[in-house]
Amino acid sequence: KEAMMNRVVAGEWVLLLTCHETYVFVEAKAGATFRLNRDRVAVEPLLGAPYGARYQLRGGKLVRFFRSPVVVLPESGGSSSAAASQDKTQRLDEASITEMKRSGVDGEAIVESLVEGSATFKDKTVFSQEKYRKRKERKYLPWVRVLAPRAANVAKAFFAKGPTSKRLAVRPDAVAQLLARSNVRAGVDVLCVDDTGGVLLGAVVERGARVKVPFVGASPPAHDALKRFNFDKEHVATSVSYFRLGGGSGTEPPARALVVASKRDPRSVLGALLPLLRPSSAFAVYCDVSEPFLPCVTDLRDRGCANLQLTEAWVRNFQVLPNRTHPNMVVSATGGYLLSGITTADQRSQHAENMNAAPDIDTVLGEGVSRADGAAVSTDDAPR
Amino acid sequence: MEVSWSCVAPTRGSSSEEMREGDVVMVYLGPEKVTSIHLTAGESFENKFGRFDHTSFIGAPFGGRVYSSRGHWVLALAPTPELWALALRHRTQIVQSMDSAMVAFELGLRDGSVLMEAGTGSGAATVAFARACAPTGRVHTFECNESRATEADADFERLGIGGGGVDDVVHKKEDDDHQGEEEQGRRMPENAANAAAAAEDGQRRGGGGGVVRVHHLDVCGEEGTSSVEKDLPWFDAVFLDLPEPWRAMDFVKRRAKPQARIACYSPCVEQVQRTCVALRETLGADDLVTIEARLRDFDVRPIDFPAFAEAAAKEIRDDDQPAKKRPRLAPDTQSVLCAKPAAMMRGHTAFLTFATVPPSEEAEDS
Repeated sequence: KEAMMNRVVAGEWVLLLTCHETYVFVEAKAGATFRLNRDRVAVEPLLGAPYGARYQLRGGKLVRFFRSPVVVLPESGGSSSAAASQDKTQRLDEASITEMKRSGVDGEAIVESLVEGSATFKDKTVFSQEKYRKRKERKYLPWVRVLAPRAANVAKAFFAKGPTSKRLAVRPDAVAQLLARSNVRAGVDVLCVDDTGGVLLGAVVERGARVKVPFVGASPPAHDALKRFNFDKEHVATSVSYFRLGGGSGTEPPARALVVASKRDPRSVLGALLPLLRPSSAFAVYCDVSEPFLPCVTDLRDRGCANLQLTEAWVRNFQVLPNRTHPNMVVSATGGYLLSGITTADQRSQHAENMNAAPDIDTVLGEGVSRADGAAVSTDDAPR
Repeated sequence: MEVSWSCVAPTRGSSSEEMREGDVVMVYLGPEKVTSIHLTAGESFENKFGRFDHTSFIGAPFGGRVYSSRGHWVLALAPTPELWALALRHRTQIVQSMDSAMVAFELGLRDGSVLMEAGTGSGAATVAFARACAPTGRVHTFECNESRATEADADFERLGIGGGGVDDVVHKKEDDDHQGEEEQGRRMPENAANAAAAAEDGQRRGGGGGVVRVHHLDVCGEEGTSSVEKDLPWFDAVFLDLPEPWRAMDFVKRRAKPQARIACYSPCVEQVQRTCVALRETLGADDLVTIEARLRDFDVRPIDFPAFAEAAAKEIRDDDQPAKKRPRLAPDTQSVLCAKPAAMMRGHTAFLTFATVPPSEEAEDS
């Protein structure tokens, strides 16, 4: 079974998740370093590390460590009534700790000293003790986990970095929804507009699709994130092609899916790219805010799109531990908005008689009934 | 080269996409109103728009209109896992598309992935996973209920993603126990040849030619399944949608690769708690993440806001009325294009817990 494992290969990108829940990308090459707490740490010990392995900083070097994840149920109390102000309860002072570090005392020994030096430690609840120990460890015995560079992890890392003037930060669940609702799959041509720096593009390539990336202007946007996936270069070269809009990708067959996470106006993106899709193809578009989607929906109803959906996702993490299960305190407030639908062979604009309301498929389907027998539109045909 | 059409397989090489006999077609009647038909010459179906003959679909393009005997029309769409989830008959509570999308993403499913799913249920999630893993990956789905397994297998066959019939492990095991029975299990006779050819294909396929393989087996079973497990591949990913996922952990431990990704789907907090304990204790997983996720729908429409002034309309129009029925706008009334949140939303589907099987422990190097 060991032979099946995926490991860090020299020359590739490594994605690390630190004990502070931050993400670090670093290259697996000689001399490469990254920052952990206040130290510069060499990447070299991570060469050959299996994805998922944890490494602790001991004596200035990364060392693999294992810890049982089994959580022991507390037997009895302790309480927080003994807690006093933090300044007074620790016997060890700042200077002693610094001295210990300087003389190379192992992080674990420092943490133990702090535990011993704390006047209130033994009176704390077991939960409190665990929290205290973990906090000290993050400071004096920090660790990192090697993550597999798959789309879900790269998406989390880039989302954590936040948006820049050039790049959208898309919450990972939105990337998941984009892939599903645009029906991206291997073996088909997918049109992809990506202003996330390459996170969405990488996710589409990971699924195995052939991707055509339209761009406007002198050159396509930077898709640096693509490198972080460690895809085989030849695979990327054969799977991904860029083309300038209006440059005439003429003879190529129409695409079967469209997926968009762009800083540009969705109405113009859809207006330019939907004609390049076959009928009965799915499309999904992301936007941080909902307002730019509103005129899109009107346009799409005019064109006769099926299964139009405008949604917002709400996601919350939970801590699940014995006697301590609760939703997380800190939660992402927004994952943006997603507009999705399916194209039809139908060009509806010639049917738009009433200028006040764009007659969408649903109204017309309802009208079909009333025209035939003169009866009123039934209630379950109310327009969306 | 002709390849069968399906939501997961590469589509036909022809430039126009016409519906053919034997295809599954999604009949779109309106938002969230989708039914599926299996095109068979001579058959027809009826709805409020009239009678539709299957032959009127054959030869017509996907994405186009098809007319009824009364001259009304519906849209004929190519199947996608999302449309399928809206249309299929619920034998069990299905996994919503939003949740299966998150699972597919978190599990890193891609062309070539080998996924274990238990239980199959109505198969809605199975189809979504098959899309992600196709064409070279496999979805091995385990269902303890024989009739559900058979129905799901029939669906997958029709969609062009199944094949090979139900691998009836339960009865095979009984046969093994009985020593010397003739029966090879309940495979469909015409697939016996396929099964033989597929046996040479290697572990990954596990029999049959399609992306999805249905196994009639209770992975939570008390009795050892080791005698039949040898035919199963090693799994890159595992999805558990079971009432008691912790009871499947031993099976998962035996069959999942190191570093495999696991997702557990449970509606109740108590189930989640016990599942997390099992993930930690049986698999040694230490990167558990539990989330809940919901989708809010918006209805985009113009809404009128009369001014707070004498000249404005005496009545505020009812904006739930269809556009044609509304009286004309009075002066000083703003008509604003709005994204109105849907009044009701799905409050809860289930909690999703993700974990990774740790890499095999090696002796610590110096």
